[in-house]
Amino acid sequence: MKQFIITAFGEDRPGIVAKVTEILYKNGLNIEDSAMTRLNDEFVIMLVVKGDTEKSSLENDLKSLEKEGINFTVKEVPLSKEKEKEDYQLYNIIVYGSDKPGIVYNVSKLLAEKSINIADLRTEKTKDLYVMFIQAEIPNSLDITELEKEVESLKDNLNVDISLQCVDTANL
Amino acid sequence: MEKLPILQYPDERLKKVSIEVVDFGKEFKEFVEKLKYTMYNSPGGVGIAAPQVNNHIRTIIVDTSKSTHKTNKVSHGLMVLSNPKIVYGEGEIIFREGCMSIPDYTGNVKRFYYIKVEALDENGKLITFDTEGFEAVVIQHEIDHLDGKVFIEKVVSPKDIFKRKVYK
Repeated sequence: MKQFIITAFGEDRPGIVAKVTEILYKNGLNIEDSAMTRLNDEFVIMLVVKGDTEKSSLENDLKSLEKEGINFTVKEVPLSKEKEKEDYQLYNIIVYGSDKPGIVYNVSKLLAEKSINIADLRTEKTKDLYVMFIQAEIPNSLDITELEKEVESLKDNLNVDISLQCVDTANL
Repeated sequence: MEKLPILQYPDERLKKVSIEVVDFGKEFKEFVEKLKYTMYNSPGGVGIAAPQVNNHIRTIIVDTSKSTHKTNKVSHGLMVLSNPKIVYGEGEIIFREGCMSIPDYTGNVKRFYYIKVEALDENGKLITFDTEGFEAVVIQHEIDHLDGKVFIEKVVSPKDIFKRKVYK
């Protein structure tokens, strides 16, 4: 059993997902995880797939997409395993304000310094309003009040709003 | 007493619509005791619906009295509700829900914030009450089970469903 990370993108239009996944299906690959979205005018696909196919034959089949303007990369990666992780609490971090260079860099730098893992990050921009959504795994050992103070000063420096929300799940 | 086994998605039996309770006799009462025990000894422990343990009758049990959830403002304590109906709903609350029948996922679901409920109590007597916040969410979540629905089909958007590694 092999595992691959596949990326593919092309000018957005109907049929891109179907074209790419048809090849995966015919190669007997199962999609384990995926993010597929439109980024401005391009449609971008990122996949983790698993199966018994050889990388070379998969690449060969995917090459047929190039003439349709879909570019791709394939990389074989070790099979996923359950990792022991420090206990963490999930937070949604929402950053919004007028767009300027360095928002993603400065916010992610602060998180990295605090050993906070980013599980998901998306940004949207309309005219001058910039919004970033981060799903962050904050170690339970971290002092949240201290983090909130640093977020406050980052807000002032970047002149954006940052909201930090604890994601509280209720098991019903 | 032993916990009743909980059906887990994609078990087709979770999709069956449950039937109204008419007999509140001994058999019903014995089942309710087992269902309570199962609820209190499962993760979450605030709500359960009979069809989750493969008994397709319209009975839910709710007890939010010990919950520390921040939206837990009104709690009627332990309630056994049969044939429950939401006769009025108002406001909205988006809540990250987890479910014993779908242990690997959580999802953001929009529910009424305030509800008025009509139901039969453990002895079959009609009761009506108002509630809000956490208790209202739990009741709405459990009533969905009676209609063969699970929270996944109610998530607000594709970005609102999350895999989880640990069921706490």
